[in-house]
Amino acid sequence: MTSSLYRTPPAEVTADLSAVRARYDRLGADVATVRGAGVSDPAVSAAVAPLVFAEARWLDGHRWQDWLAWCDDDTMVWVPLDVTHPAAGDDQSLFLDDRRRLDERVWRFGDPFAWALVPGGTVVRSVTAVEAWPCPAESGGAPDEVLVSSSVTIQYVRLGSVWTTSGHQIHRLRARRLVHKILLLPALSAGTPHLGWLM
Amino acid sequence: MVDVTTLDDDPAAHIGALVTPDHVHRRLYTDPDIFAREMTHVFGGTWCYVGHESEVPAAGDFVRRSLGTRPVVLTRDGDGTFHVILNRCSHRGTLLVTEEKGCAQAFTCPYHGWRFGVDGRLRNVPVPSSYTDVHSGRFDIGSALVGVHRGFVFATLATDPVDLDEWLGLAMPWVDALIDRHPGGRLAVHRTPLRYEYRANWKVSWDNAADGIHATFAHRSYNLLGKTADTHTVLARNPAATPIVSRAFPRGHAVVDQRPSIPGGPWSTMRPMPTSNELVASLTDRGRAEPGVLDLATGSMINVSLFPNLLFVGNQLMVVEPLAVDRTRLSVYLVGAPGAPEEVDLLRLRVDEDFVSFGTPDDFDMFERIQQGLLIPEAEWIDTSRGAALDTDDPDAVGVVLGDVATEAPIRSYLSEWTRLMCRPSPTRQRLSRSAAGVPT
Repeated sequence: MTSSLYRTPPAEVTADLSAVRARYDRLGADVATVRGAGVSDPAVSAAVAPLVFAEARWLDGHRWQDWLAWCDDDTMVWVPLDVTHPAAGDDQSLFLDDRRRLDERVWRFGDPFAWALVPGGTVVRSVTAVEAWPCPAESGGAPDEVLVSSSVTIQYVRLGSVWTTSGHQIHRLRARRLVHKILLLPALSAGTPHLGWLM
Repeated sequence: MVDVTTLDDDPAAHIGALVTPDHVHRRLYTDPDIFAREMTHVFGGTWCYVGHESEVPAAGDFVRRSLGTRPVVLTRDGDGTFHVILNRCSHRGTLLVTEEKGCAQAFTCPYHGWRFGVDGRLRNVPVPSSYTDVHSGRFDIGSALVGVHRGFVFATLATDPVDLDEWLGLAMPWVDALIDRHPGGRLAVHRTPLRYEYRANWKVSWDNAADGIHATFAHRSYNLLGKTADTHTVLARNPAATPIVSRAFPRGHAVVDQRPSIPGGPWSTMRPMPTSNELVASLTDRGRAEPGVLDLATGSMINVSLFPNLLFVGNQLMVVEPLAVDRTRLSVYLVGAPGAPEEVDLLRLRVDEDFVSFGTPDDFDMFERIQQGLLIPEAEWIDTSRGAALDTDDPDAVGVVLGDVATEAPIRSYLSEWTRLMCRPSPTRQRLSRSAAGVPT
């Protein structure tokens, strides 16, 4: 992955830069893999669906510590702005959080000076169409890694205002724990209220 | 109560009465008639930013934009010339271009098949014998006058606009400084903007942009994040002791220079960002982690506001797009630095998301609270006098007012320009590529 902003590739690519590129590439590759996938594996899908449902329940219920406990130290959550051609290293995202920034996002929910979250809103995530596949070896997945695709409808209610959107989410799980989550929300291209409450 | 029955009837008296040297009437934020007049007299009646050359780098490239509430298209023709054409078929008024961006040799209206060049000239009409003069130019698409400053494309429909350089005026060196901090002066705008909408008047974000002191209070949560990470953002300082300098320019432009507050440089204000440790390590390995390079990853700490629709904040171009008197879209375009090490642009992506996540939501909450508060009819006026007694004239630039972190001089300045524009008669007209006798323009 080299940013299209660059007319020529950099003269020297360090190991750290390569690692960052690979990490970003893996996110985009998972979107492509799910979009090109065939029928899911029923047994794998049935096994992981409760995790995706539980995640929605934890987040809706502000059970942040339960949700964080499901994450690894290197978990990432990515919300690209362009759902058609998402590119973590080549275009703006709403956010691409590592574990540190996820912790900060959780901290903010308890901060009485986070004015956009005071009073807090109510969120309902409706998760459907859960499908899952063992990660293909060429995607860099370990044997115990699974890709999960689902549809999600998110309704946010705060101060008498209701905002609803739908999208797709992709989870990569390793040993049933969250490696990364990708949230694809087409409404982002049309203009939305601020989404400072989104996880 | 201020009586404004008809804005077109003696606008200088009616509109002028809504803005005093130290107050502004709430109707500027709540009155649909005033909003409608702004769409011709301000958005169209003066220069507005429409895009950057990097968004339309090749012949035929186009992006959809708005000029106030008018849909327009920024295009580039085979000669490299930029055009801003009204997004409207000249036949029945159909919206001509619906894609957000693309590359085209021509635009074809899906309704009756009329075909136009990217410069707006009519090329083909099915059954042209329906007219005797179809190719005389009278069916060319109307366009705006275009001005370009170092890759930044502006447009206006003003009948008698001032030259773009004159309009930029004393703000131009500040814009140039933001460009020149990029190696080679090269900027590239990322392809997908963040589009956030808030339920408040567009001028609320304008008031906010050059308001240095709000950051300490409205962004208290963001500041606490900085302290948690043992970084002390400029936002977190004691406002009374923060040597921020505000400059208010003629024509409503403004600069908030935060650099005096951050002797450690912009990068010193940043918490660790996702993958920032690896990217900084990579720069270090390559011997490129000098402060100037890292500072490029974050903003210059100089916010520049070009009235009425462009805000330079950090590495973002924030474009204010009015949708209704109480509804506004803020489109945020991230700028890359193609001449810098790749790590810088990757860092910019992550830095860009940070304030959008933890700062912008609190701004929007304030905007919407203001709009609700301004619905109270009995409380008519908003004070804009803060700092007026302390402001000074810039000894180095005639017409520029200097103020401290708390001054509302930029607000007073843009409202003065707003009033001037709003009081002008018949301020706009479309241009046609080819003159056509007898055609109303």
